[in-house]
Amino acid sequence: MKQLFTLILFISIYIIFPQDLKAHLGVHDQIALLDGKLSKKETYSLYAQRANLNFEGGDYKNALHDLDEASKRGAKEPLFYQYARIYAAQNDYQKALQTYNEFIKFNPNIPQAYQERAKVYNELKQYEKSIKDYEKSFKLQNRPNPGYFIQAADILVNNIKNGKNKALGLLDKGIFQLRNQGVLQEKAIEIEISLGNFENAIKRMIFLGTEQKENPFWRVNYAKILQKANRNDECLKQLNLALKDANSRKQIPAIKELLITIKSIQNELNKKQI
Amino acid sequence: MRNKLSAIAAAALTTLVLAGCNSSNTTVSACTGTETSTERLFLQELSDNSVIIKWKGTATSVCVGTDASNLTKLVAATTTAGDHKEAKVTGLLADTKYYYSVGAASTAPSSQEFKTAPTTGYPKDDNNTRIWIVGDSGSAGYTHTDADATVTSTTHYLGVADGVRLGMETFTKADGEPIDMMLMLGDNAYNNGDEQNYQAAVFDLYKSELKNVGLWSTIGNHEMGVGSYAGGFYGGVSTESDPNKYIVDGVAGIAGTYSSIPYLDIFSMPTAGEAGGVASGTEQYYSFNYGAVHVVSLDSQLTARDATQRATMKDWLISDLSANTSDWTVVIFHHPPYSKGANHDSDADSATAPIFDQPIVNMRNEFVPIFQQYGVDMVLNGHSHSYERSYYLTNLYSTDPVNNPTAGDSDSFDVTVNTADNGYTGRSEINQEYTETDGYVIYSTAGNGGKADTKGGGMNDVTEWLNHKAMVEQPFRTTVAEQVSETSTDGVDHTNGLAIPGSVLIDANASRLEVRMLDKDGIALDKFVVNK
Repeated sequence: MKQLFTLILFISIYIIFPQDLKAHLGVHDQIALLDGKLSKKETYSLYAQRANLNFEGGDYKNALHDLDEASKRGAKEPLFYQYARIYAAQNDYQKALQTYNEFIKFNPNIPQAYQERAKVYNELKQYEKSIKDYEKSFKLQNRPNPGYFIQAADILVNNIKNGKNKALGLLDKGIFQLRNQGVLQEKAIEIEISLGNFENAIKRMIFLGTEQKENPFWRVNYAKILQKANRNDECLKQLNLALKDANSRKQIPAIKELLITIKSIQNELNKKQI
Repeated sequence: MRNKLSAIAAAALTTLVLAGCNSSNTTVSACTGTETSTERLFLQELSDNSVIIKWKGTATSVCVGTDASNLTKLVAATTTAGDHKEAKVTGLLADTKYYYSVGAASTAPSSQEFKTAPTTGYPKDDNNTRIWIVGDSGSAGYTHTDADATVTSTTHYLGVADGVRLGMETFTKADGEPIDMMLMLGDNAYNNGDEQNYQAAVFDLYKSELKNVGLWSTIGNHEMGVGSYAGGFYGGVSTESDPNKYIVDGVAGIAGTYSSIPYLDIFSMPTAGEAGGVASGTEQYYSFNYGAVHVVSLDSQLTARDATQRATMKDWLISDLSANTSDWTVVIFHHPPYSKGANHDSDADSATAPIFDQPIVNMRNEFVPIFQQYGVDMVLNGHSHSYERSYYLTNLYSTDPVNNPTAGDSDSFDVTVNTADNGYTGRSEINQEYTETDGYVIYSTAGNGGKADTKGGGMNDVTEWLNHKAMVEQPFRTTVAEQVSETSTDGVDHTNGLAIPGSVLIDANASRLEVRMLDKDGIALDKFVVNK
């Protein structure tokens, strides 16, 4: 009943002040607008809106005040997410965690809540729990944005014992879920190289090559791994193929830089052979 | 005896072969259904060997063939998000016309046909790829969900988007060349990008086009519902990076009012390089090839709002452009890196830009260098409801936005430093011709597909906003007479843009890229060419 009443109030406000709400004003202009409205009528929705704008504008104290005022006038549980974001922005991670926990208890199916809680766990150095939350958020979505896998992989690599291998596992799950190699495979290759697993890095590069159509940039990256693995003949072969392909393409700035890189690696290898 | 056995074997073998021939000659077509009406019908991921026929309706299969009166290829549909049906038709020949029936009849209704893309790297049979682009065209569906009863499309925008469509039709009928594809620059369906908005602003409006050509899009700010402040209620001002934070109507943060963005249910975009680009893993950004052109759609609305996501999209873009060998590369995304529209000013830096316009700054500073480095020819955006076209531009961005936020501003533009010297006279000439110069890009804002702002933010004269210095001057004209004569008759000479509804038409072959802005009468108000 309370929700219906609040909804009716919101629609009323939207009808009364339509153009203002639609204007693409700056954050502070919008806050000023809401100040005016709130001075006439104090409602749950207006306080919640202003809380968000205060948060966006970095005024956390007033954002919290507005959420408190909103809570007096309507359901508090939906506001927990906003409260938690503010606490996190204030670096009060314990409080942010407790509040995200409350929000997730209220609605356990919002992937963004797990992602934000994962970031808080990360700040609290509870890395295992952070990763668990990322994984939960991945399960709640058909197609999570690839960047979240990269975020989670970085946490594993930088903070967890045997983290690099776990990151490889997580990235492979992402590659399977998203059904493509792409940036996740590139990240995995970076980790394999850091582990000295050049043969695994090479295998992954070959998978990537199909997707990237064995373009000259891919060949040069492949050549660099072969060079690290001391497979110099194969390295030279890839460089020659890259050179031929690059010379046949539009001489855009990136290609010109690539040609310089190819020459540089070839010179290094030739010096070694001498 | 041996001869007798050989004869019997030969006879048996011959019988078998003839039986095989006979059975293929008398194959019964599987297409025995009935053409069924659809609420919406459109083509997705149209490539050189496949297409997704997508619709809303009761039909559960399609039939496809090269003979409109004898369709033979039956493909069953799957039901997908948003209550759509999708039939993925594979094994098609490149650059070939196909007819189709929804409902799997053996004959196709009139004008239900499409042509596959040419094989990548090879020209089309008519040696021209024609791309039609509309930006912010969503005004046709502006009425029904609008809680604001005082502003409706009947009052302001009724017929504008249809007029723009008719302008394209007039032009293409006159020269006899139909479009090969349709690109939408976002804000396709005001005010919230919901299902009903999309039905009115896209599927009812572009009914004939969508049956025949592939439809591609990028995500606009009005695709994200009322707003994702988790309490903010403005249409088109979402600052979320998560498509699951779409809110149609809602009260502050009440759970259950969130849902996934309808845009991603409606469109089926390639995620695994299905149409020729490098796999992105997400429908929010992707690429494809068609004839002489490689098209990249970036996500400046969702992905661009999260630093890690944005970095991932940038890495993918580099991979994609590295693998690209097409003659021309066109990039689309919603938020323009350079624009002075009535409501959106790209000169606002990181500190002063409204939060929902932050992507303008990030896309300029982080992606423009990639466009230059990797040979992008043209970038098209929406968001500002006007038409602007830049010089052939380079190096207008900040490499240190924190300490040097004004680099990349309109004021920092220097024609001797930031433009290619192609004999440009300093004033827009219609039929401007450039020679392709790597490292230089033309930027065009074309958010005038459904409305063109003639006032905004307290300003009432278009010269108060259409004045970005990196944009070429356009003769100021608001009447048909002015448009045709290319002169201004009201004493105001130039603006760096046009406050006139219209759309963009690109014609591309291996050696030439021709770009026009067409008004509702099919007149090209702006045109330029890039030659190899």
